[in-house]
Amino acid sequence: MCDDLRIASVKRGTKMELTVDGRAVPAFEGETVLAALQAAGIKKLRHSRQSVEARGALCGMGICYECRVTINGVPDQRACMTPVQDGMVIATGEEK
Amino acid sequence: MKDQYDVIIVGAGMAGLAAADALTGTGISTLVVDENPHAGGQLLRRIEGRKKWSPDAMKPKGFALAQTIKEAAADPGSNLDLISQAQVLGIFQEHQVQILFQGKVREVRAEYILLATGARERYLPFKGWTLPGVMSLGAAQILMKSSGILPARETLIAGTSPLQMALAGEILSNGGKVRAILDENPAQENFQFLPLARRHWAKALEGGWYTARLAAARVPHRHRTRIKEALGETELEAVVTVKTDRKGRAVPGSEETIETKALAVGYGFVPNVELAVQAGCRLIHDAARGGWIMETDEDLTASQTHILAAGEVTGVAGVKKSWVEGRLAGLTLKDRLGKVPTGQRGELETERRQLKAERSHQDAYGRFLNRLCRLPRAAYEEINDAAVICRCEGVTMATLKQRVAQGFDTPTALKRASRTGMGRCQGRICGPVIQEVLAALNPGVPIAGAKPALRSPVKNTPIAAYLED
Repeated sequence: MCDDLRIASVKRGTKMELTVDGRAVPAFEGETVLAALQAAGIKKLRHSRQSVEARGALCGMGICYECRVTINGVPDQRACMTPVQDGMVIATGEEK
Repeated sequence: MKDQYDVIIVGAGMAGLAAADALTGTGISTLVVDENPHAGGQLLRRIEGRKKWSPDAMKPKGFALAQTIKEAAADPGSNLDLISQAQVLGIFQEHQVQILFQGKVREVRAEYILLATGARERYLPFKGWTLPGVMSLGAAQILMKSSGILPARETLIAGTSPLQMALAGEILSNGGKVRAILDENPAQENFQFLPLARRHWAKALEGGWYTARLAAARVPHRHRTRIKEALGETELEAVVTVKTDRKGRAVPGSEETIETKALAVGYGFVPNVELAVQAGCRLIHDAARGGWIMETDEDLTASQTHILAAGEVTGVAGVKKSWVEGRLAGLTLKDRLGKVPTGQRGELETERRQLKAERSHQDAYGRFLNRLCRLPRAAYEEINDAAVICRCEGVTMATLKQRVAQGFDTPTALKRASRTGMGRCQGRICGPVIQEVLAALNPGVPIAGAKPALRSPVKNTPIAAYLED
């Protein structure tokens, strides 16, 4: 379930809302898409090309391309390298 | 961004920032290009409201430097430009640099190009490491440092490297829990630090601080313990650990199952040499410095003389060496661009000498660091057949072994035979693993045949980015 992992002592930016697979997910300015997904308990981001293996973020620094999601209709965006913006529509689980 | 600069610096981590700082106010036009949303590289990540104190003394210096560079870049009167979320795709003849920025590929020319591309983490694949919930030590740290989010309520930490301790300390400071630290290597390895302790006392203090922090929180710290397998359907649910013997071989019957929803793993660092390879720069292999590194002269000029290198890309040794080399590369550039007034020559030479001396001390620390992270050959030999080695293309250890037995015994041959390294990451994750697996399976084959090969674009680029509007 939605287990908010945001660290209490951190001063957050403006609150925003993302839509992830049709569901509303809160986010704060300055977070990456990956962080917002992680905080909402969404770890499974896509399937591997060759099989139906579930995949999630590995390196967190733009190297491995495992955290690819579709953002505002643009596929293959690295969640870890993309800052959140209010109203972003994100789709997980797709593979191009 | 202009069409032409005196210097393009690739990477705004500590090395790139120090070089940019050395060039400000000299009249040299400089473009700093970084892939991340914010300048600062992997170390200098901070968000508002966090405690400013850190046991790492270089951090305050780095944050101040990042601030200086950001302010200089924002000043329209300065000669410095800084672009974030931009990727350098290749360096071509006539010093043309292709940069992917805001969805388009742009060509910018530079007299000199400084590669300060940093390092990434090294991995040891195990069965199930592709499950969501398994992430790198760095990924867990970045979530906390850049976004203020815990990797999980409770995290299990495994692998090698001092980063394990740093991550555990940060999780505790942020109110999270650490299930345990499982270290591949024996505790005695740490004593190798003793000869360095006098000069690197700050590092010793940092290590001591973390050790005390973890002891106070009663975090179990087990040595010679390896992740054998990660279990779970669509997300991580548990791991099976195994003890290892003196030679790093798994001890049968020592398996133990630990339930966890989050596992952070890391096994040291690999320099990011991909752009250097694409640009035709010579590499050398030095395991004590992190593997394949850029070959440079003592003033940090690469084999292609319009290219310089600074930081982890010349050898993994941490932030101080990156600062020293960034500064030194900046001074070299200033000199080569004829911006050193005659009266300042003596001063410049004195500083260069000091920087070079400091670099050799930091190099010694780096050798210790890389030694702490190194895995025994058996760790690679014993990778489970079902473990995925190339995550992008889904190539398992069983396939790899089969292809090697058929004679495909170099990374290039394996690539053709099995598609390893042909996916999105272009071999950045599996390349260093495959090199170690090959060395373990074929001890006689020289490492020179395992040099990474890469062409432009060195990062995924949509075709539309090359088209005119």
